[in-house]
Amino acid sequence: VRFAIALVMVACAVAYADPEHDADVAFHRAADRAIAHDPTALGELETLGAARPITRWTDDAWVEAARLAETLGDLPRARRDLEAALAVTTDPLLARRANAALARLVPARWTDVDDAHQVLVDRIQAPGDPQLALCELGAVIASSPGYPRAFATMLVLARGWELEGNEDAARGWLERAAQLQLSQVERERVTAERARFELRGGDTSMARAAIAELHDPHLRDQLTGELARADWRRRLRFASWLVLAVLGAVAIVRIVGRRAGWRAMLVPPIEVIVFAPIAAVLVVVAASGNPLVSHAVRIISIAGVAIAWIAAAAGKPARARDAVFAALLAAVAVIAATYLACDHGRMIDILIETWRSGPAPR
Amino acid sequence: MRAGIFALVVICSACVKGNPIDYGSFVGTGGTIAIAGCPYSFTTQPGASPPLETSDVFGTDPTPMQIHLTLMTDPRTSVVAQWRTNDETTLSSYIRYAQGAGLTADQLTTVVPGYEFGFRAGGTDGLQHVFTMHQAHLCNLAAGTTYSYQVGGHDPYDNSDHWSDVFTFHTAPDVDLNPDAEVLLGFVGDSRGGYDIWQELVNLLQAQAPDLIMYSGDAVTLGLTQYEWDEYFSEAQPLLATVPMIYAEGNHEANAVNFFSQLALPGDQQNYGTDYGYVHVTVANDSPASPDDLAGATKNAIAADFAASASARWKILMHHQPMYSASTMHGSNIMLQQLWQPLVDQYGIDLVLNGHDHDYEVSYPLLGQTVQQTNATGTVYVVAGGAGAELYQNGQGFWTAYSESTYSAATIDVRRDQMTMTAFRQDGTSIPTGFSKSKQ
Repeated sequence: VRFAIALVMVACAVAYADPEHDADVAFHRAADRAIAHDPTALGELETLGAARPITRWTDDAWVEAARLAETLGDLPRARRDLEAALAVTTDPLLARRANAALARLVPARWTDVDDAHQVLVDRIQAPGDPQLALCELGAVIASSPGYPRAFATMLVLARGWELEGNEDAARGWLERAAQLQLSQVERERVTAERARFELRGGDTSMARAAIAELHDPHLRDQLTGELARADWRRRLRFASWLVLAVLGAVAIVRIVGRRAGWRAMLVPPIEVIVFAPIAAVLVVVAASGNPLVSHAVRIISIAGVAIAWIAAAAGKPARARDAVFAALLAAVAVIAATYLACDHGRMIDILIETWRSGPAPR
Repeated sequence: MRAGIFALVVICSACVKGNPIDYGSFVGTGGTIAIAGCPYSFTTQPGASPPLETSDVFGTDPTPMQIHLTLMTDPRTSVVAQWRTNDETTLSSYIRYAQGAGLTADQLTTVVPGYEFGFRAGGTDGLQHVFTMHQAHLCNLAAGTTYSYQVGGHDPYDNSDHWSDVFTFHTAPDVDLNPDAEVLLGFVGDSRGGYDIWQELVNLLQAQAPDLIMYSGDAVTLGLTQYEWDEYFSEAQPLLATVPMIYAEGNHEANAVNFFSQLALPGDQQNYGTDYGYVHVTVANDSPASPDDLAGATKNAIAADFAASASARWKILMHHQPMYSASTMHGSNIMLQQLWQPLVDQYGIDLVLNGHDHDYEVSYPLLGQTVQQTNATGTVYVVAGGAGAELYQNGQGFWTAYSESTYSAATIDVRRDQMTMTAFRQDGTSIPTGFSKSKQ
């Protein structure tokens, strides 16, 4: 009787077994652990993927396994799992994503280079001195000809060295990138990057030469516009410094020529006594906001105080016409100092944005 | 009447060669048209002509270009295809499609007529021109289903075809029918002035096979200059012709007619919400024509959308200017913090996505100004404004979990119980700090 009951129970179990339900439970159990990056879920998902009969979770299990393998850094295994998913799936969306992931994974022979690339770029971007990591990444790329991501990495290296102030190294990496076997799009990209690099460095003739090599008319027009803007700003910067230097020299001559000489500078004039506290308040208030605005206000305030002090030390003009002229010179000096303050850190771009589209709500 | 005059002028201009055509008597009053087969209408703004139904007028080069998909209503059942043609005189706007991936042109058996209209904007020569926009709206599609399509038209007069390549897109899954549905959202912004870099990021995003692109604004430096938009859409066509995009207007779009004309989006195209899989995305314009709207109409629209989507499992707010940014260029937008953050906190928004500052930043979870120990109770604020515009210097605020001055884009993987954001740089390396949150 016992044997018969057991036989009936086994028969019932077989008859009512639901592979979909079992797979559903097992998949979600493993997937939850995979989401938490639990490495033990990997084998479990692969077992589910390999189990037969095929359930609606079979392809998902392979994809989840591939994703976990990629997260854990086992790219060959991720690739195998994705291929297994593609072999069984009938879901076009899953196939699309699996195919994209397969295309994204670098070929197996570049896994080590890719790992080193990731680690070194993270180190370059981390706080602290990035130069050692830049050198190491450069060495990795130089010793890995054919690495699929070499082109993009060389642009990162160029940018990294530029930020470190090593223009020769930056230019060198841009030139090396240009020497790779490039598509037309990549060639345009590196040429545009070279133009931008020269623009940022202030070498407008080199930038102009790079822009002339571009074939894309829109990109050429856009960079030509940037070049014209940079040219204007360079001229204005030069003119501002020249104005300040000339006016400073005139003021020195005037001060030295007075009977009091340099002693006239020792006592702050009434203009400074009035303006300095106001300037101090402006500086403190501005310090609570945008750092670029704060810097500009600080420079303009200091320049304002200095110009007022020097102008007063240079002596009061005897005639009304001279007073107007002196006031004009002081105004020119303030404008020059204001331009230089706004030019710093591209604060001028914020002003242009504000001019075009109104103040940012703050 | 005005629409008729415009159509007549356009038809008469069809024989004129050159690109773009300047329509002397262009009527830029805007207008509204009910979209056949869809539960909504489309409105063009002042500066654009009233939308018209397609007609069989073909210009000198009717080849479709800048094809891109957007959404105006439920992404499970609808999509909008938009494009321009190499000439500006073609008025033929059709889409033909069929269910299935990678179909050939002769398998696309359903043909749906579309709409066209013109908008006036600045050309490369600095003069104002009229540009023609084409749209086709597909509704009543099946959820979680792949379709192949092409846009263009057939010229019955010389029996010639002027169709685009065949592209494939898919609709959003219905999570009621498929509770295990997972969606991948691409997030990117601020391409202006760097369209070669934008193209690189487009390629990287495409390699991730996202389901929806979320763009946080500033595609162009000045919204009215059409040549920048042309660059933006041309470089992105491989991605945007296959994946629909939703878009938050940035300050550089400047509420220009170009933005409203080329991006058919839900509601007023500025403030709206949409569900995609398990996530509800609220989009807001933080650079409205009237700044007073930030505390008024825009805030009300956000509050209404938050309230309507309160039961969504995952909630994202996307707008352009960051409430929290440690970049030295723009920095945090204190007014938006004061106006909108209480709503974000009240409705438990999981993630706020921004651009504006050209760097990559992730905040700690914040509730008010207080950093939370876990993101179970706070909102994480992300800035990813590095899609091509010149980079800004990053910085560090009390809220900053991670910041980096880099070109970047991100993907957000949304499942029922988990949302994970992974960001990557232009060289394909992943950025170490993203976002991950689980809910039971």
